[in-house]
Amino acid sequence: MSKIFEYFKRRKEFDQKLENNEIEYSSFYADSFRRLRKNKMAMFCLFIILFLIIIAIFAPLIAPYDPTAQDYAAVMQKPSKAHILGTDEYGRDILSRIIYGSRISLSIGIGAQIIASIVGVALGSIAGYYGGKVDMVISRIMEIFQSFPDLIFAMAIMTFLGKGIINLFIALGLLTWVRTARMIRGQVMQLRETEYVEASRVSGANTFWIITKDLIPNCLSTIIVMITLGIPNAIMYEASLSFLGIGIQPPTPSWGNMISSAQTFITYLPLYSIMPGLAIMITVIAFNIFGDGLRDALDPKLKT
Amino acid sequence: MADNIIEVKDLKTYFHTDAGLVKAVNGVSFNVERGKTLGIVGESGCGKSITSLSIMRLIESATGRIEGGTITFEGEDLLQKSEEEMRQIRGKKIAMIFQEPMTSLNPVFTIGQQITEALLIHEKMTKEQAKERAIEMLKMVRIPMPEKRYDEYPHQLSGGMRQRVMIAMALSCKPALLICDEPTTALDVTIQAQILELINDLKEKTGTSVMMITHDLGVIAEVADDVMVMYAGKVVEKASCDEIFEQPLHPYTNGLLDCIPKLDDDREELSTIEGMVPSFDSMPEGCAFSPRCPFAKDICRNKMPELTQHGTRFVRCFKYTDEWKEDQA
Repeated sequence: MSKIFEYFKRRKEFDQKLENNEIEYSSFYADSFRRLRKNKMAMFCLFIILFLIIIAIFAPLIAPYDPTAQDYAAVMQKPSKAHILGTDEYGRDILSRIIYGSRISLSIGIGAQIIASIVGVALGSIAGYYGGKVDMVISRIMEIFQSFPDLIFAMAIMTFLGKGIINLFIALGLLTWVRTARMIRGQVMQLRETEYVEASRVSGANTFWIITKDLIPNCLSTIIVMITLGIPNAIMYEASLSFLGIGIQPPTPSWGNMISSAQTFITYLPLYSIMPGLAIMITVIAFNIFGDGLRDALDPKLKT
Repeated sequence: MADNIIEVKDLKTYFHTDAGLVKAVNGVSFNVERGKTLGIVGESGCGKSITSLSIMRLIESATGRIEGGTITFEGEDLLQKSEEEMRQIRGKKIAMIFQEPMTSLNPVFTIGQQITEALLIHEKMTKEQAKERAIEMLKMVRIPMPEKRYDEYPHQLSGGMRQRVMIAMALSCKPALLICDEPTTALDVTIQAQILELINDLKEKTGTSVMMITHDLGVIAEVADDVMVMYAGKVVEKASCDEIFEQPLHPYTNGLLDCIPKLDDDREELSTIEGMVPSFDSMPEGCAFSPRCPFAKDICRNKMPELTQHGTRFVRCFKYTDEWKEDQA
């Protein structure tokens, strides 16, 4: 009995403090960042990601050579002082090509995820909010999209749209929106039953208002996590498509098409294929671990 | 005739569920006079909340539908309105506050953003005007330091303050009718009294009519002018607040009043009404209360009594009809 009494007393005191504005609050994102900072691994990966972004932005300043400049006097050279990672079959500097390749990989990862998020959030929230027939139609569309083998589906779209970086955004966006849509749909279904949505409705808000002001902002942490975890996925697909020759076209350097052209020389010049592969691996792992950490920091409940 | 802000006649709201037809509100009629408070009392599941949602026209889901009746609000039938017209009424002319102040506010927006929401939708105000009005409203519901609170998030407020914010939101567009759906249930007793006092005060100040939905007769005694008691989707008794507390006619109302513990009473056990509200698929043939009624006779079990007038009040019970005396004989 005394415990209950204690509890109510504490609650009363707390309410009183709230009333008098005596409690200092940190905002939701400051709180999440504090949690994230405790995760050493995620912070390290964030550092790698920032490093990659800086490299991509300042590629022209960092790269020792023009990545497309051909030098037939120095073809297929082993690593040396002039060319730290050697040169390829046209005499282009491999290190410079990898540095420039990060621009392609990152922009495709981010671009594809922006498209995937726009489509996924829009359709997911509509399906979740309306339910019933609308949900059924959208869910079936999602199932159709998911029933194709990923890579073949992306190849089909690329063949249909033609080559080019924008088309690659679209193809990869269409490939990955379903995951976002499913997550958002589930969350919206849960959120639409909450009292504050009901409260919005009784104050005369229309559906568009409720979805954009009540539902999507409350899904924001999920959306951020989905984007971070989706980027490495898109980078992988870009590399695969470029490797198969339907992604980024040479002479524009991309990690995928570098590996593709390197495979012929794998025994003679192993670094030529290992280095872009390593770049892909580091980028993907960094995004994945950071994404996991971010998810735990933003919403401990999401942890699976 | 009295000046009624809203007249509900023979409202029928049914739900077509897998288990069968559920008559959640079955022929309910009542009026709310301008500037007065109508209390609606009843146990959980008796149709109180569905009645209020019907007025807001917010139950047209896949299963629920308003099957009949009229809802006349300021001389116009709400059931004939289009969805767009209803949106203009919700929040502006009829506002509503809910039971759970802890969850009725959107956690990701500030108090200010949420109060100005209705103003921006309905009053076509500029952001500055809306902010001014919102702070004025916060002052009116007696929130200390309203300018500071305006930029705070719901989790920074206590339960009582959140309910006051909800009231400020509801009253910001100066509605003609305020529906309170158990506004004090989730709050502790001292805060309850404050909130009720606030609602009473604001009613006087703004001339808003109030529909107070509750299962707590204490709340009714505090705020209501008229009382309507509901049981299993039907009105069983309608009277003024004083009459109900002085002399309840219906055995159910009587039971409810008996359940309130009294200060000068040292009984060990609280009194209850035996049994449960019948579920909608096992509704008795006659009076819905007959299985629990201490006075029930054969006639009660076989026939549904009508809502009949007794002086100034209405009651749905055979006890006050001639048929009762015949059955006695």
